[in-house]
Amino acid sequence: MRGILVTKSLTKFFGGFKAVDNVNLTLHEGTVTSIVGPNGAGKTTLLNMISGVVKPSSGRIYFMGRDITGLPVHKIVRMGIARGFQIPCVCSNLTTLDNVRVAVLSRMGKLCNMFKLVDGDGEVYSKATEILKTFGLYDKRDLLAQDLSHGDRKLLDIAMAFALEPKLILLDEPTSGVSSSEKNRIMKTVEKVIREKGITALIVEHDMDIVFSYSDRIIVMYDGKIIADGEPEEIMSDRRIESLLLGCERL
Amino acid sequence: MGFQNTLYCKVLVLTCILLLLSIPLAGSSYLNFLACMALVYSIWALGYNLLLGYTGLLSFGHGAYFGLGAYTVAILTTRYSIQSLPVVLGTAILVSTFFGTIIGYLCARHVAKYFALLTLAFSQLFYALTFKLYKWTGGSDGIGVKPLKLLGLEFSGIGDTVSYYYLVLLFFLLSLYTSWRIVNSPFGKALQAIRDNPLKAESIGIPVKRYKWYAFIVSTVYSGLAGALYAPLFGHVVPDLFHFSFSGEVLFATLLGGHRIFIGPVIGAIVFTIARSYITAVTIYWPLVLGLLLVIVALFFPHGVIGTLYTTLKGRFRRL
Ligand SMILES: Nc1ncnc2c1ncn2[C@@H]1O[C@H](COP(=O)(O)OP(=O)(O)O)[C@@H](O)[C@H]1O
Ligand SMILES: [Mg+2]
Repeated sequence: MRGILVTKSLTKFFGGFKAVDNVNLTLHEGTVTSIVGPNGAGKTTLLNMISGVVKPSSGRIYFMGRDITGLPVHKIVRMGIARGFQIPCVCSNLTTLDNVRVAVLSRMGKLCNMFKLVDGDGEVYSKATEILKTFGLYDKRDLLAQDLSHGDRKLLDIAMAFALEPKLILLDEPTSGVSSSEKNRIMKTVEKVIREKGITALIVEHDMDIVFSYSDRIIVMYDGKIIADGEPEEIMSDRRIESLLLGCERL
Repeated sequence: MGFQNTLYCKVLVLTCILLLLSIPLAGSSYLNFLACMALVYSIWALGYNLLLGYTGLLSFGHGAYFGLGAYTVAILTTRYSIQSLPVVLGTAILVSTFFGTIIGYLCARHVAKYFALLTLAFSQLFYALTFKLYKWTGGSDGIGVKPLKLLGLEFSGIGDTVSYYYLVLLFFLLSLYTSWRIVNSPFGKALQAIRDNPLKAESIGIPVKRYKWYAFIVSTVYSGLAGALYAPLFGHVVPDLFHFSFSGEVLFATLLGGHRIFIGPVIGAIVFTIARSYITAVTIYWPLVLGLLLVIVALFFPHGVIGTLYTTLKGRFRRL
């Protein structure tokens, strides 16, 4: 089986510091994979390289058989990789609705139109509202993104990634900084959409209960390296990893 | 968003248009001249604000595209005796947009960090060139501008100010309408996304550098038009149009009115023009006063004069 995403010897140096160390990773289509590991393990840097935000020092990245190493972010997005950020990344002076609408417009290739009014486009509006409803943001559609709560901004960030209808979605700690009741709500929604649409997902997450409940596969990163990779049961029964992850949950 | 569709808003817009239409009824050619000036600056600032307020890019060099439009009109009418209004205005806009396209590419695409500095450098380059190319440009003396002609009518600020005012008003309303459309178009929303969060914009598939470039080009269309309308108004153009302090005027007018509000640059341009006409009448230290005003606006009106008043009033109403 060929993977939808393949990384070969992916390495990133920041100065002399090796943040990601020779990562070989293959993701299979339609699967949900979680990355766990302590702070500073290189999880975000790995996602940054796949999404094009950070250029790898060495190694290659293939998406659906095509080499995407070093392509600009917006081109990688157009190919079908969307990304949610660890710190919510939204357009603060646009309304919730407009944030999602820009993503929908981008997805539909309608962005470069100067002469139509956004409000006049019913198709874009209905797609955007559908996404807002899915993520429980519909009632807050006219609020500026800067006036949303932290949890809602996190949701909006993720909703915008889904609005791009990606083949592969990368989510960086989708539940960090969110109350535990919210956590489950977010992950239920995310999992439902991922499974419904058959999206391949790579998710960084700390909460092991959550990770265990939705993952097909768990990868453990430590010091920039993948130190374990397997089905949830395998990983959870590994005593070595348990102590490592307990350490990181305290952080 | 809701505000734009209310009856209240429609009435307000209509009243403003009627007010603008009736200015020449006062019968003062000085007032007509001043109104022309304010509207020319408004056109300039509306385009400029697509860059500053909507894309978040600070340019110190938009005098260059204004100057290119103005000099094109001057050179065509005096050196080549081409006075046909559509030909002259069209060429002026083309010339400034042409240079805007090239310079915008260099500024927005390649050196994002030094954007403001680079725009300034290019405008100073044109400033130096107007002295070097004195055979064309008349050097430091500048050159005269002949009236524009259409259907047997002559248009200039020197002759019949009423007809010239209506010409400028027509282009102002056109600029207002088109820039309002752009701001509310998918492209306009993309620009606002870039302004708020370039990383996020890129991450939803917006080619950020390219869109910044497009925004630059569009803004120079307005600068070129404004410059082209300015030339016959004064009947004379000078190299100062390319000096960076002149570029500072559009920045100042935009900040004065508020770059976060669509109509802000227009209000700023009007207030700026009126203030200057009064202040230059009583003191020769206009640049000093301008500097002081800028400091006051920056310190006490972070969202522009109108923007800050608007937010404060909104706060008041909420508390009531
Ligand atoms: N832009 C950067 N410049 C320098 N060091 C960085 C940069 N980004 C991340 N790092 C370092 O790389 C290591 C891995 O960071 P990161 O990928 O954010 O880890 P994680 O997401 O697993 O917590 C950390 O030690 C961090 O300090
Ligand atoms: Mg991280």
